[in-house]
Amino acid sequence: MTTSKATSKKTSWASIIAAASTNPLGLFALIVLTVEAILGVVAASMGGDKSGIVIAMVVLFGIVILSVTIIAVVNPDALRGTASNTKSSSKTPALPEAEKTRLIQANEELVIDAEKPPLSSDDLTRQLQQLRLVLHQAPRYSTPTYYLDRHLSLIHWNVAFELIFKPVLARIRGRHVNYLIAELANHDAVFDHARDFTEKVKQGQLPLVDVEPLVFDSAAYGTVEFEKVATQLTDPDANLRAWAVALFLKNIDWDMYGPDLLQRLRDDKLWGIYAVSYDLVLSEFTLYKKLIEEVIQGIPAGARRVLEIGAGTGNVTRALLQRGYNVTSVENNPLMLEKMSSKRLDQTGRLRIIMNSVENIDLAEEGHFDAVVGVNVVYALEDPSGCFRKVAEALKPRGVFAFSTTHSETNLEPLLAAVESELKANGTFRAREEHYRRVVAINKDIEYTIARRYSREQYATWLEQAGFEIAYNKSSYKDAVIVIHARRV
Amino acid sequence: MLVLAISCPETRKRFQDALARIDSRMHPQMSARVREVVELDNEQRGLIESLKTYFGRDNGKMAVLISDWLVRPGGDREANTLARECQAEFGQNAFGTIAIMPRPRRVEDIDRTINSNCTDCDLENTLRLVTDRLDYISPPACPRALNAHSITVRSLRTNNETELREYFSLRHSVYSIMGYLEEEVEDSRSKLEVNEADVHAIHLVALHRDGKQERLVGTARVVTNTEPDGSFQRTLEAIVRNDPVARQHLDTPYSLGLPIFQSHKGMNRIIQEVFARDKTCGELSRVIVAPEFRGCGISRMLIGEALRKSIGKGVDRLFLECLQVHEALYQEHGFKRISGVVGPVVDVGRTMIAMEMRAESIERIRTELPMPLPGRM
Repeated sequence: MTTSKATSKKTSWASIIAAASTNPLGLFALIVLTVEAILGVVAASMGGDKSGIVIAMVVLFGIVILSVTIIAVVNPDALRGTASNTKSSSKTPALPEAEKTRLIQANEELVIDAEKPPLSSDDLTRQLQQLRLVLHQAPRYSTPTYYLDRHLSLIHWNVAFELIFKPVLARIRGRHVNYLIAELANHDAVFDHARDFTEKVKQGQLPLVDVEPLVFDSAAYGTVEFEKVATQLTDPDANLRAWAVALFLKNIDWDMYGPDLLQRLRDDKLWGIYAVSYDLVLSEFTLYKKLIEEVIQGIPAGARRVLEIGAGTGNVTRALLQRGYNVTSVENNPLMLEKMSSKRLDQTGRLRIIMNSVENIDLAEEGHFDAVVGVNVVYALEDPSGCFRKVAEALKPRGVFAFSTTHSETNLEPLLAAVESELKANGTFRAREEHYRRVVAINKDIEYTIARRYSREQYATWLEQAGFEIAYNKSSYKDAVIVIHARRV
Repeated sequence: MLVLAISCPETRKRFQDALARIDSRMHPQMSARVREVVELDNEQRGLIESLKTYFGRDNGKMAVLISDWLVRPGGDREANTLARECQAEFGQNAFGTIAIMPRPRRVEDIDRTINSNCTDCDLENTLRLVTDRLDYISPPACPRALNAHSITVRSLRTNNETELREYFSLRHSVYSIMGYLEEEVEDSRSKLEVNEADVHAIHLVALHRDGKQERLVGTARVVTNTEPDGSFQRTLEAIVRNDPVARQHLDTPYSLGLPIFQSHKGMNRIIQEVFARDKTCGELSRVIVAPEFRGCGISRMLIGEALRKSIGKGVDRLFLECLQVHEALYQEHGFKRISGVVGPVVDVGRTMIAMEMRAESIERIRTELPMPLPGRM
């Protein structure tokens, strides 16, 4: 039911002719068409009486139609053969070397940077040294992967794993891998395998690599089949420190999973890149500081424990810590977290960071809070209604959920204009122009994709359904967001 | 057309006057149409004949009967012979009924009930509710022009509470239009139409994408007689936590697995077969499309995908119950009426027919499915 399949097959004249010539009927049609064309050219170049040629062309055309009709009636398989041939011919044999060179040359100016000379071996080494940390991001993405410490506890996973195993993440985080095995559809076989593995280890034969099939009945993507490939990760002294377990996808409802993965990867990158720029552009912006203030004012007097959802680069976290609260911050984006940790907020000893998405954790398990805070986070959630319910469960009675979010009538223009004029007024625009432009571009993207998904009324309804009463609901931040203080009833 | 069949002369006069006052605000199919006021001594036949003539004509699209004869005197819960005869005759037509009775309440196969002393406002609202339903079941005059790629049919995300709310709330709003909801569900806090069958069902949604915005515009489910999905059940319980009515519906199981087994007595033979051979059965239900998206072929997409998904998951026999007016739609998909099984359906208070998918149609879909995984269903 997706549209991607329809557009993925492109036909060219060359491929049609190639396909036609493999079938006797197609070959016949090709010959007739060629003769027709020749006759047409002859007729055009000839003066005087053309009726003979025209008649010949009509008769020939008639013969083609007649013969196709007869074949269609007598032996329809011959016609279907053409279709299946077209399909099988899409698996083209390897190109001859000369043809490869020709294709590469033909695309040299058409594909960006293709004209660059090949890397020398020195260049290669240098590149790898420079990019070492960057290349380490790779496993964070497409192949579902999880990480075990040397005692087989689940310490981390990547974006793709998170998508598929979403419903069970809260039950397996930080737990022994047995908890993951118990969630699998083929748990018996996997437990057998795990016991065999244990026997081998006891006999002193720790496998470097471990392979087996896994099957998981995911709620969203049907029965998912993987080939598990677990690899040891070792430190410079060759000590086993952890396992990287890649799950190669053999079977999944790709119509559901494909678009989700794409969206998730895109978001992950977008927020990561955004983090760097907005931190430079916004963290000192007067209206942003005021917005943080306005949200935080919702925290009830006497509150001690505050949960912050979507902590981002830690601007709100810092404000909360300055006011003396014990803060638990939830943030999932590694780039944002890196930015945050560079601010050394944890020196206070009152900050706990949970590296996860607020949508994947059982907030109530983190204990009960006096307040939950989220500045410009809710609009980006895939399941805001579910998040509100979880927030309600994590709050003490009369606890407050204070947050700001964009809504269906949001217009970000005035806000961005205000940012620009403030940067210009304090003389930092030049230095930060590149980051400002990036913030503008990403905000435009956000504005058109996710920021305006839900109306103010919709948020109010979800809050009420989750068991909140709204104590404060005002437009703020140049009308880019609403600030809501909702009290748990 | 609006037909008044009221035996009590004062009541008749009151309704005639009230209708004259609200005429300008009525549905165009009702407003200023012939209203036959029938003396109902021996004219039941005549009434049915004139309705038949009306629906037989080209412009006969929609009729509503307002009568104090639709419910048995004495206020028995059941509709009387007039109502049942109308149901039998006009089950295929856009025909609505409003029963005048002393203490209005839900009556099987009667769209709405109203008190004889009702205000103009009550009457107007009641009529609107009935014409809304008739509008919904009639083919739309000018279906929305849709880009073929703007509609996607996919499985419901059973772990996304926002999507679940949208899903069950669309069901609620359309069932409300159809007059299927019990009063307590109609007025419930969460406005979600959800029941126990949902936790052991395959759910599908149709989404309409307009630019970057996506909206849920259609639903369908196939209830199966299999084990409930525990995590889905927990999510649903969490959603309706603050709504005692919805929670009760979620907690009340259908004793024989499928709702259809419970509502039709005539299904006994099939039920015995199913239990004797331990068959995996499915019941297609809640095929619902948002009013403004009707007529675009969305229900066909939903039905097709629901059948493929459930057969792919090992369902051997498929049933459904539907209004007679939708029989042709399901015939297209390989369903065949189960003869003799017809009657009021408990949940919705409507007479419906029962259908089963032909074995050969199931087989055809099964052979067209992608190869099943080795050793698994």
